[in-house]
Amino acid sequence: MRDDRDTALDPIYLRTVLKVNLITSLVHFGIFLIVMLGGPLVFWLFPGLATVYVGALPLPWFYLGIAGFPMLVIIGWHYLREVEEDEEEFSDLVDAP
Amino acid sequence: MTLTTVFVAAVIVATFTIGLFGVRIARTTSDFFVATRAVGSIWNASAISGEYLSAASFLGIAGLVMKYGAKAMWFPLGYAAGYVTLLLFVAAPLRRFGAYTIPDFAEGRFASRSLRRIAALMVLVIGWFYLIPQMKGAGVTLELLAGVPYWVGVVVVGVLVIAAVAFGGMKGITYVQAFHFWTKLTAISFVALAMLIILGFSTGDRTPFADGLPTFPTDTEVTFARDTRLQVPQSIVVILDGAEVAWSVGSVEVAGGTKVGFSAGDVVPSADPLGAVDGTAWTVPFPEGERYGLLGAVSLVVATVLGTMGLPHILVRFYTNRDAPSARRTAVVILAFVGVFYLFPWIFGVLGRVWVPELYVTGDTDTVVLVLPQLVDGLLGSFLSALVAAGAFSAFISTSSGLLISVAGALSHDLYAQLIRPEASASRRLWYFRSGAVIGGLVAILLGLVARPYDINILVGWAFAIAASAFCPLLILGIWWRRLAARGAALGMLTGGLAATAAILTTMLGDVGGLAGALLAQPAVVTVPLSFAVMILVSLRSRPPRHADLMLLRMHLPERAARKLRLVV
Repeated sequence: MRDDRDTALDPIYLRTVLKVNLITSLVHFGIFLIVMLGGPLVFWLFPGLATVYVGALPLPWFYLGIAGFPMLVIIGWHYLREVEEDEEEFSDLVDAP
Repeated sequence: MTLTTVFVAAVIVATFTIGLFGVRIARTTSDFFVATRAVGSIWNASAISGEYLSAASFLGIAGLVMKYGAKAMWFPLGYAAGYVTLLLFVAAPLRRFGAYTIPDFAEGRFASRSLRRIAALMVLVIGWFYLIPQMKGAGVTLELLAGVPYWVGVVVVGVLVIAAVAFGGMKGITYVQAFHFWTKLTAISFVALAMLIILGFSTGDRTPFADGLPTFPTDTEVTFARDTRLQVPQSIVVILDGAEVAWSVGSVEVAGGTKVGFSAGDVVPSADPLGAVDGTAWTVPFPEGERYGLLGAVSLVVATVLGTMGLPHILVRFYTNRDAPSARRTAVVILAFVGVFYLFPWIFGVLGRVWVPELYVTGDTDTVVLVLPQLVDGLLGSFLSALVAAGAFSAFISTSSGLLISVAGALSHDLYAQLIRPEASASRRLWYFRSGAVIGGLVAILLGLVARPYDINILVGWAFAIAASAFCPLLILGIWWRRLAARGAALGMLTGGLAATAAILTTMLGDVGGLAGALLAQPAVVTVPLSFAVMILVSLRSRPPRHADLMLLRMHLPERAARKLRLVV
């Protein structure tokens, strides 16, 4: 029988779980930053893009008003899948004798 | 008009019916602050989206897009994006921690009463800043729909919300807000698509993205509700008291109550001191000659992306999820829900530039969502008008009541009860909460009465900037960094929150211009890193708080692993 208190405070658990969770979050945050800040930067660097039309909309309007939203949902959904897998794996690992 | 009254009355009656139904279950104090936790992800996501989509989303985005064009298009995407950071860094760990509110988290994480008080103070600043535009939205909406003075709408909605919060609490409000979300989504999507089909993006030679200044599509009579100074970009002849009067280029004073007739094809004068935005500058995100456009856009994105997690009325709702995995799932569903919603509001701004440019003349671009359906004749027109009115009222009521619950909780629970009456019984605390709701609501009404000149969305953007500066560093570092110390957290929260508030108050008094002006108007890009830096530097020189490892473990350990380790969380 292990002592609960010792197990709880074993720093290896915290270090592992923090690292795994943080890496998953940061990777998705990086992709998210490209969507959120890359957009402004590209439109700033290439003002001519405002004269490119997607249907009735200039490209920046299409990006900010329509295309950006599904990108955010995909990032969120992908993160959800990954973090749930990570947590299952970690929980299995904890069981190992 | 009658149909509008029926629809708005239906929203209000439904709000109180569903709310009162919930009251019977809301018997304990904790029911009042946070709904009992048995709420599923779809319900919860509907309710949180309902609480989130405020006057700023329903009316403000369209108004700002009509006024400033592409520059305003960062708002909708930024408002949705805040849920990504909330999902990645905050939702699951905070749910495991088990804190109801941000002040609860601040005290619980650092075992410090003073941190709770500082956090509660910031909740008040953010809550009131966010309530002001809701009140403004109510004022302009009732003025337009019922022809009553501006203050009537502010007082009516303010009092309704105070009543709902003081007697309902959170349990009833979960279902009320889910109902409000679906009302808003139905209204905005149906009416936007109907307007697109009926009016079309453009007519003849006038398209929204054309060069030049907007012109009147037909002969238009404008009634001025108040004294207005107009910028006239091109000389025109107008009809004033039945006589033709020539207006030359420059500025013109028009007294309140005056009726002015404009002719089709004339260039539209503007109530904005800067004048109406020229077509080229309106269409592109970064107009030439605007030096700090990129800085302003980035700072706004920072405020919205990092501010959502710091909104007191949103975060409190994540506690109503069953566990951490369902908190995450809720965040993804919200992202999808608000993402669909934000596809529509800006369409009204684009159509408004072509079809109702008289709003540039009165300065009431914030009403474009309500004004456009009035162009449609007959029963269909009344139906569309009634639908957007119902959506707008849902927006004011749901957001305001959520905010007022947070403000009342901070006033009564975190400040008054903790500081002065720590031994108060549960029933006394409930009484404090109700008093807090009345006081907090009255302050919001008073502030709302003087807020008319400010754009709804600009005010909400500022609330996000303060939330991002005060709470985002506290949450991110508190959840992910063991060494964050109480003193660092307190000083960082105060520095960031107060710096952002001071910058915004300075801007409200007048534009300074140049780089300083751009940063004062959108301070988040400076104040958020400042708050992070203060927290990190002070913490590195302090001792890490006791039990920090255990607390972080509690927040990050998956549920199944925690059970296996027999770690009670």
